[in-house]
Amino acid sequence: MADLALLEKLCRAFGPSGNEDRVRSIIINEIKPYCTKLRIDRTGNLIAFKKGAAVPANKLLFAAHMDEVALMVTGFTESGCLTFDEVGGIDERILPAKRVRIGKLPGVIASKPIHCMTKNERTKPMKIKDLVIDIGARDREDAKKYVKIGDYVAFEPNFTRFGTNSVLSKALDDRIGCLLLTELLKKQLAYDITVVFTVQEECGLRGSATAAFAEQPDIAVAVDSTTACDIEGIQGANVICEQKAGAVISYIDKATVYPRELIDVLTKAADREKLPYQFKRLATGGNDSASLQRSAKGAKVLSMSAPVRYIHSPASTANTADIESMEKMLLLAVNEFGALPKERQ
Amino acid sequence: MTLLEILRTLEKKQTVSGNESAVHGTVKDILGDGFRYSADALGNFVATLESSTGKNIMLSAHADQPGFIATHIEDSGLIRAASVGNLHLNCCINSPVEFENGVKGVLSCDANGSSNDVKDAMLFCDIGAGSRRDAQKKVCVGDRFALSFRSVRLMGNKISAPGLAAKLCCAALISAAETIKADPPKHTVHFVFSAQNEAGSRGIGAAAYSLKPSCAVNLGACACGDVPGAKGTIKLSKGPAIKISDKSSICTKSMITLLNDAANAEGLSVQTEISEQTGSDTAAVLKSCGGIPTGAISIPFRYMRTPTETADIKDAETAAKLICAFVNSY
Amino acid sequence: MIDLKKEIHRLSEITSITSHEFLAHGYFRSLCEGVFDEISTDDSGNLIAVLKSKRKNAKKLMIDAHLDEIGFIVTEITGSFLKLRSMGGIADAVLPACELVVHGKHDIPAVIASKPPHAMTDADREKLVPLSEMLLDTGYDHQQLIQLVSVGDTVGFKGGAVELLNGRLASKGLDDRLCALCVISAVQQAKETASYDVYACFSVQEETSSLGAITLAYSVCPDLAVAVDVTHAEHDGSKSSNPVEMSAGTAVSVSDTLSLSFARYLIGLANDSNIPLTVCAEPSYTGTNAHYIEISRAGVPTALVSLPIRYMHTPSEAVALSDCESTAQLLAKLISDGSFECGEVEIIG
Repeated sequence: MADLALLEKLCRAFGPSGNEDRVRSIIINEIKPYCTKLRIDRTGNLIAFKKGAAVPANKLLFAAHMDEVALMVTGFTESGCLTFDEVGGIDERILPAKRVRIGKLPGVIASKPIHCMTKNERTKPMKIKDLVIDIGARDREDAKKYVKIGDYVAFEPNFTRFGTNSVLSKALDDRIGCLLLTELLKKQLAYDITVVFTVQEECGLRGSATAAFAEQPDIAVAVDSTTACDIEGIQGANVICEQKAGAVISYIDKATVYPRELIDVLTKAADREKLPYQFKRLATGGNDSASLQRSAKGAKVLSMSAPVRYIHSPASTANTADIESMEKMLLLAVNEFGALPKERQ
Repeated sequence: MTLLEILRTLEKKQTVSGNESAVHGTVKDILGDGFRYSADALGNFVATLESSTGKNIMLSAHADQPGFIATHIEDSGLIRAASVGNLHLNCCINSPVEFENGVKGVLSCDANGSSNDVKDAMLFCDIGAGSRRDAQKKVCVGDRFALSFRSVRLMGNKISAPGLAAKLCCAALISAAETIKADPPKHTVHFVFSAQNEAGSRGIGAAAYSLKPSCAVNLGACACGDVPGAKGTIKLSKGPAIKISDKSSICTKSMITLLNDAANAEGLSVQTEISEQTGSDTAAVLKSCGGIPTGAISIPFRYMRTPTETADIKDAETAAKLICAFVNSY
Repeated sequence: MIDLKKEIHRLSEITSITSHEFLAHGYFRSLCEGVFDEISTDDSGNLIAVLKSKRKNAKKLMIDAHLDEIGFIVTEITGSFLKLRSMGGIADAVLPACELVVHGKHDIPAVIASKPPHAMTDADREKLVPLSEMLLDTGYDHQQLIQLVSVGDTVGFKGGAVELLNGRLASKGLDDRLCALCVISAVQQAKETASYDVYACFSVQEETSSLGAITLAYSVCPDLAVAVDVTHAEHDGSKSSNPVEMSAGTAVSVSDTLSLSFARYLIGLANDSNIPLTVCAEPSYTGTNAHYIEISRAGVPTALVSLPIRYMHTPSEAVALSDCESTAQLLAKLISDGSFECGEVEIIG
């Protein structure tokens, strides 16, 4: 069973790219009793080493990113509102009228009332440069007492059970990954593994690059989330992947071409164990595997993602069945990849 | 009379808004004795079945059809007109039309009958006159005309004709009245054939004000969503729709429930309407006096406001049954 | 006395979308008990609370605040998604990723299913997707969904009020239920000194057709009336030539469609009592129930008192508590004062 209480704690935590401390603290608390070694590197990545029953021929590394897409304060207006810009990729159309937190301080992204819009304005999306955050300040001087330029802004915490077996929250990408790797570390494992909870994934896969350089894995698995578009009106490859169909494995995306061999090893084992999985139908997006693959001497990589609807929005959704099948898939990956013979250089 | 026969009888009278009285006599002839008849200043026609319980029900359908009123006759003999009712003018030009007095003509518009955005000011009617004097022998300013009535039977029980929405709803109401007269209800029932709905629901308010009913049910038309480009869930031949809301009105919850219960009790197939429909009399009744609990039943139509409004007679018959079931259960 | 801040938090979780206003009756009734003498509801869902004056032959004052909030109605259950229609004007801009609550057999959290950028052409991305093309995701499959939700059920913005700085709050549905709270607070304040029989009319369907106010004005048949509604407070991105600032008090409108003498009387009343006030110039249609009450039956002198809010008709309407207090105070003064001449003038009898 997926530990939804922990997922909720992780999702509610404030963790924009570059400001992941709170998420990291929660994870440290959970995994400390189970790790052989644990450190925070200079970039802010949390790197854990756990001894298993045997040393694998190929050094194994699993990564999930702690950061979420968010906003940053860029300035003030006369009336005490805040101008802002995006941190990580956000479709700016989802911004109007959403509630945010500048650290602990609540705010609202101002949205022009429909009555005050011209006919043209009613059909065109508002641009991020035209939006402001209202914190209730009286004027610029008042606002400066509470907020500084450069302060981070995250969407308001809103984790809730949803539908039959789903959850709705901001930051499911990639707190689901964080949950899964936390749970993995709590298990007895057949092989030694290294787990990295990376930072700054959303703004260019940066934390994973420095972690990979230091750790130099032979095989690395990025545990992330990807867009599920299994909604009415979307057809064919545009669906990308579906909920309730298991972990999403990519052959190719915008940042990585994945080695077939690893995929074949895992899927063969999954078929044997009758675990559900699916392939990503469209080569969109990218994740930490790109940095893990290219760093230092390079590594063989695989990406395993949770199908999440409305990703990168304040209200994304995921199905618990997918989280549970990914938990099993990860264990399988440890066993299968750990047993692989050393690659000839 | 069957509903189809009633429709055929009503079709013979042209009732462009303001000229509803043309059909009053016909309604009276069909319904016969047993009703108290009255008409008011606006042209609303009411047939009442009296009873002594003190509650009274108002059932209504509008008697007017969309059409045109001649506004000016040009030197050339061409006749300028204003449209009444929200016809899709683009679809109505280059069609045959007929005046109340039987004179036949053709409707066209500036741009030699070819435009994607026809406005009233562009319309004219050609009756073949060579000059104004010639034209004035046949028609005058103020005369009404409508798309020539030619009704077509399609497969099954479907009919297509211009102005069908108005005629069919009236026919259904008359059919219900005949059934209810044969099995007198416990409450007083007013059958209102309202005036000037097409001009903007101008008549029904006065009727409601005078009658002050305990509740009202309006019978009207709604657009089907089952042809390419059309929106909504209403399908042809799947029964009448019980309205929850349209663009200008939200029906009273208790009335929606009563209508649905009546449909269930009689095993009648009905649909649910939440639409962008405009032009129903329902809004005017809801707002009357201190507010009247009002429900609405809509007969589904394809191609509304064109020369080929299409409906299924069976849907209209079911609507009539639903009205009777409601009256009995109230 | 009503604790406005506490009630705003409670109100934020109450639903009363146009066509389903009765869902808020319980909440408002409980607030009216102990304040008013009679409370009743009618077939349309209007809630009327009456306070009788201690004066003999007191005139009737109707105070209208509309009970309905904007929201959506379910038009279709298609597969495991819902299609919606809006009740009242809601900008398409707030819809993407918007969290909603479906008021079916029980409250169900839901989210607008937005098409992601990759599935759109460049031209698509320059336009907003209209509501008619949007779907609502509840996380249930079709079989479960039809057990829980019916066509005609309402869907609202997620509840929950957030406290900002300087006594300001943001929540869904302040328009116009917050004014209803101000009315109740005003009657509480003026209970013992009321010069009028006060008919507090919490009317339905203002957002669609003003049906409630039109029918209530007819049945109550008041001598004078005030409609209390929200108005746009200035904020970045929305500046007007006749600005109403937040935290600057309440507002009274001057309009050619409303009684000028009544408006002037109220402005005088506010000034004499040091109640902070902005005068709004609103020529032509004010877009409120006042418009219809003024011409009910043989006419009713009607005024429009407004509470300034930002971001009207979005999931986070923002208001200053001090402005609510000023609005309630002005209404309380009106109820007590009783000096406005509102009758017909007979010149030759």
